[in-house]
Amino acid sequence: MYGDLALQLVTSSHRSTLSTTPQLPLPKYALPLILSICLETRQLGQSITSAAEQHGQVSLSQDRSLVCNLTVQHLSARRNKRCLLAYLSTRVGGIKERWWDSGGSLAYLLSPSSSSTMNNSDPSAINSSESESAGDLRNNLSPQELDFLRGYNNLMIDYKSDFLDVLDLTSSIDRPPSELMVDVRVLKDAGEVVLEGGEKLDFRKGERFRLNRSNVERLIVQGYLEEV
Amino acid sequence: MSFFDDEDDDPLSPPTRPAPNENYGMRASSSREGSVSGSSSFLDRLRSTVSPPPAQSHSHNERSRASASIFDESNTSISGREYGGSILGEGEEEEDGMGLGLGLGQGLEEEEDEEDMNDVKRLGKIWVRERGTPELGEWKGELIDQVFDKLEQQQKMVNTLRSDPQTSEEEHFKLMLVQTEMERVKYLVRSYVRTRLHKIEKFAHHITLSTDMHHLLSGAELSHARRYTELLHTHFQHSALDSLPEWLRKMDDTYGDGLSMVSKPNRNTPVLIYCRKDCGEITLEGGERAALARGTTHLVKYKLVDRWINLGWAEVL
Amino acid sequence: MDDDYYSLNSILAENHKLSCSFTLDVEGLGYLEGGTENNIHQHSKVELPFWLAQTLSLNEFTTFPLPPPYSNRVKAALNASAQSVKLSNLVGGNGWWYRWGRRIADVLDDEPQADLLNTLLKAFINRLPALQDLSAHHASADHTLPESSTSTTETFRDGMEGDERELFAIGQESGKMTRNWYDSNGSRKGGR
Repeated sequence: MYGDLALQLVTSSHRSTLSTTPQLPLPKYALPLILSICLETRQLGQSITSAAEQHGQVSLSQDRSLVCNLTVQHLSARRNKRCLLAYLSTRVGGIKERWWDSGGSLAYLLSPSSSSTMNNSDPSAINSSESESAGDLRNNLSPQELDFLRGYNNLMIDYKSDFLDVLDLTSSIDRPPSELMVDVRVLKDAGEVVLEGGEKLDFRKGERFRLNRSNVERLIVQGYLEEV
Repeated sequence: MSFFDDEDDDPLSPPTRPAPNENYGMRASSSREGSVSGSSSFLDRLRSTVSPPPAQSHSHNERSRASASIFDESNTSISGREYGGSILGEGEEEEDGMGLGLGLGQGLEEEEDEEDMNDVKRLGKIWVRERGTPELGEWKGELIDQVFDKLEQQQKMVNTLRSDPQTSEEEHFKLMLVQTEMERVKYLVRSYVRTRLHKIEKFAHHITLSTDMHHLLSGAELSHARRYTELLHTHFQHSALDSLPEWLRKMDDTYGDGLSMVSKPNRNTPVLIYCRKDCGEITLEGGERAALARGTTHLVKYKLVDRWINLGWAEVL
Repeated sequence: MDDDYYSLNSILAENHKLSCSFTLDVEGLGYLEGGTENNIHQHSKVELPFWLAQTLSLNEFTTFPLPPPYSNRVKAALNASAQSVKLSNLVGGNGWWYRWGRRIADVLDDEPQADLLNTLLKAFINRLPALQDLSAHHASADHTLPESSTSTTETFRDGMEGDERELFAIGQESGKMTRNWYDSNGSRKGGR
């Protein structure tokens, strides 16, 4: 029946929202399904148009049976559109979530190693077709979604800039800060890093520091530092 | 103890200090005039390193771009306007105002005027209000500017004192407390801004279309709303809409049953309020009336009390 | 209540089927019945997803009786003892009795609409005390099964529908969080 494919799309998307992972899972973009839904919708559109041409105005206002049929087709087409947009919209939410969680680091998000540290990847599920692919974010997003991510990154860079002289908008807001300092060990070389107050430090692997939490949160998220 | 306290209570100031006081008074510091004598407390030393409060018009400050509203802030007349906004942030912990010492819902006896509250407290209440209401509130640019100025001053002061080799260990410890408080204030600002951003993005299209809402946003926020709408719609077009029949390509359809493609805030969302002033009566559904007397707390639909919330007469908890 | 255009929950909820009768013959819609017939005949009963049923009914192409979950029998049971009625399996799947009821109400005429909405409201109000008690009980004790409960409590617990279960979970979680906060503060004199 019309709308069945769209229902599949929405159901699978909904299932991902029920996941208990810290972030919304972003499985591979369902391109084949989306193309099929768009095709079905175009066919509905053509069917409606040709019926309208074929029957003329009089029939359209008087033949209730015809109107009913066309109504069903029309509703089905609209339903498909809604399902498509809801699917895209939900994924957009997941994409934005990842951007904020990474502290706004686009390069980190798009690098191949990012997803394995950020998602709870279950090794046994890697080969199952249902599970979220352990591949990187870059592979799972459609080209349009990647464009969106880049565009959003640009938007946020602009917005952040107004506040940057005083604070970094993308620092975590999970809970209000209770301790000022945190002990960290450097896991991989990060080179010279400029901290929020202007101080410069050389982060070499193996070194330990005691720093303001706000300065190093992002580096912890990205795996350069670990809390000791 | 906060540096932000405009009142002069000074828990840091040691009541009786032995000889070391003399030393403080003797330290040569270019930022301190000789007028500060031996009775200087730690707080005095802090204050003396700080520049005088800046002039009101901070036009050279880049941040004013972010905080300037398009319309004058006094232009908040109460009419039947439709505002836009949404509800809480994504996956964040719900913070009660208590942990941050904001004193919400208190002050039954005190007639706490808005002006008397210090900036951080005011920011705290604005923050709670923004998180607790479905619609977008007014951007409090002036307040944010003031808070930022204080943060900047405090950072300068901390930097100066930290690098001063004559700062004692005890003072270093107190500096840490000051810094901790600064972090907490920054947290407030971050959360406030991001809560608004979340609402703005959720209702970006609606905001872009509703010019009567634009005075609620800062210049940067409005620009963000427009650009985000465009970004999102372009994404939808390229991903799906362009592949659909022409009559299905619009982004602003409204359907017979009331469903609209343009998401609007749900004004029926309940909100928990505490009445700081007498707000008269409201009529609930089913005809029942409720008296919003001073000191009472209510859980009621937002749309019935938004007027009082925006006036500050009813405080969101 | 999530009625947003982009809401997955809302879309799925509107997929729930309603049993409708067509008021006329319709050429070409035979596929709705799932069989091989090309056409629909007047008076045929078909299970239609709500997103179709809603508009078709408003335009009087179809009619539908008040669905079983909201029948007079259920109403009577609710009037007798709201807490004893098992709402969990009345509306298939996850059992969103209230939400589905509201959607149905939207498509009804004034009088039956007011009646149904009233039934929903009364049921909710009358079941709430049991829900709060149950949730508080489970928040304080650290187990998921009630020890000695009356049969009413057990019936209620099994009979909670979707929204009630969510409320229960929130209440339980909230109670636990409060308890944890008390416990943690007790040892630290209320400071952070």
